[in-house]
Amino acid sequence: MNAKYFSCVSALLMSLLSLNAQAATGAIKVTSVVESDVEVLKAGKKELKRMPVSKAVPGAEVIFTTRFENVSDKVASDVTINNPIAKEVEYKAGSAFGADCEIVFSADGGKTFAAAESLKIKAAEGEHNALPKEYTNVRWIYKGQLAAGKASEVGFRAVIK
Amino acid sequence: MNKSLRISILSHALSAWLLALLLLPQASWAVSAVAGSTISNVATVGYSMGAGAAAVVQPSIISNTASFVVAELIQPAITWQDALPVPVNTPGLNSVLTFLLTNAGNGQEVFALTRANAPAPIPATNYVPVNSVLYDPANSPAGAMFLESNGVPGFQPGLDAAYVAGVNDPNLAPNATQIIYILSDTPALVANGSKGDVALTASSKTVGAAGAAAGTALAGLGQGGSVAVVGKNRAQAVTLGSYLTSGLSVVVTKTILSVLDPNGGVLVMPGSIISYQIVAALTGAGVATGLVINDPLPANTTYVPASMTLAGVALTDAADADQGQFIAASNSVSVALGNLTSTALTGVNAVITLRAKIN
Repeated sequence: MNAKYFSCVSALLMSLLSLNAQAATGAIKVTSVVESDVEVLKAGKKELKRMPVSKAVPGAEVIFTTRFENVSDKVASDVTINNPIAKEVEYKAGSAFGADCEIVFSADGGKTFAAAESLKIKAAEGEHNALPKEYTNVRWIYKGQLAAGKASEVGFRAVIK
Repeated sequence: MNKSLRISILSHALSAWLLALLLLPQASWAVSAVAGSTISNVATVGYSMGAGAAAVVQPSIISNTASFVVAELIQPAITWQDALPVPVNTPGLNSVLTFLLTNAGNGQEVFALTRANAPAPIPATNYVPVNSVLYDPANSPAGAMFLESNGVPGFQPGLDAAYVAGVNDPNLAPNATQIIYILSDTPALVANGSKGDVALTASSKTVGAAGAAAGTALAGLGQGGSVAVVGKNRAQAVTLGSYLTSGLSVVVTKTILSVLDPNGGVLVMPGSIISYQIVAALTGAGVATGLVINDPLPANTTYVPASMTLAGVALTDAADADQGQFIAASNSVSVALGNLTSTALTGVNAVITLRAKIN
């Protein structure tokens, strides 16, 4: 058996096995959190505080954030973060954030990606620009390298259908 | 990196499929996230170790699953379905207002219905409708309301179920609807053009929900044991429907103006001449077409020839160009008023006088 092929297959299997793993392991530590802005009173003034979400109602806005950190002692490159958008939420236009990232979207379940302004949907009646609510995936392409020990975060906001 | 991408798509497709399976019993209604369901987020990171030509593609890293539970939003909505105030006669019976109750929340919910006739503050020109006495003589807050039951639009007596509080409260899936009919009577002598409002309220039957402040969380009371959250209308929808008095009614009154006996007195005796006045009063709006006042003379009286007037103008007894005639065969006076238009609130009167002699 081709050793290279074998290693690829085992990598695939490893990845599948780690689907349910609580903490992601490897040279990059990845943590996903879901939060919302909650209005709190601070010194008599209302202000928004980002809090973890355990429950939310339709119409509420939540923030999905992926934090990643190079926990190895080597530089990492070609870092991309893929995040499918849950079917029960709608992506909020213009909300994707991530320093030093090129942000692209998919409206076909991750088959194809493009920048928001050039993302199209092909339908029987013709092609149209994908609406934010039609987005199915967000991908961040981290520009440059992630130095050892460096951490960053990307994310987006969505409204519960 | 391509492989890791494929994995993430696969897991997404799998979860989407599972979700679709879970949503199946909800049929096509499920446009909102279903109460009690879990929304999960998993990110996948692909990367290489090293840089440039020395970079080696690494197995992608899959994040933990960040998830939260969809709480049940309790939010009924009512829309009044009649395009315009429903025209009613005064007095009037069993006039129907049609409402549509929608469960605008995301969980199965039961709603109690109440009606308020002419809720305060009542505008000065409005009247107070009453529950249809035929269906609810008690005029109670849950009375004379019906639930569309037979699938045929409009209220059908005996076919659409009478609403009985606590017995057949609408139990609606998310986005499901129920048509509700409210039946009212209109009191007599209400001025034309008066509005009568009835407010329909649908209140969530989840304990502690109806009337609670928006955002109130009720642990465990939502669908599937989820948290129930009171929506912006305090888990109560209230909507007004209106009636408008616009029927046309003709009230005919006959009075004795005077009696003149043969001796010049006012005694009723043979030979006395009785002067009658007939007033046809129109109330309401519209046109009474082909209105004919037919007045049979009392027994043992004889019409005094050429004694008929309409609005003070004499009419001939013959069936001719003028509006009046005496019909000997039936011993009656007939005045054809034609088409009368009622415009004023107080109506339009036609005054007829005639005389008869006691035999």
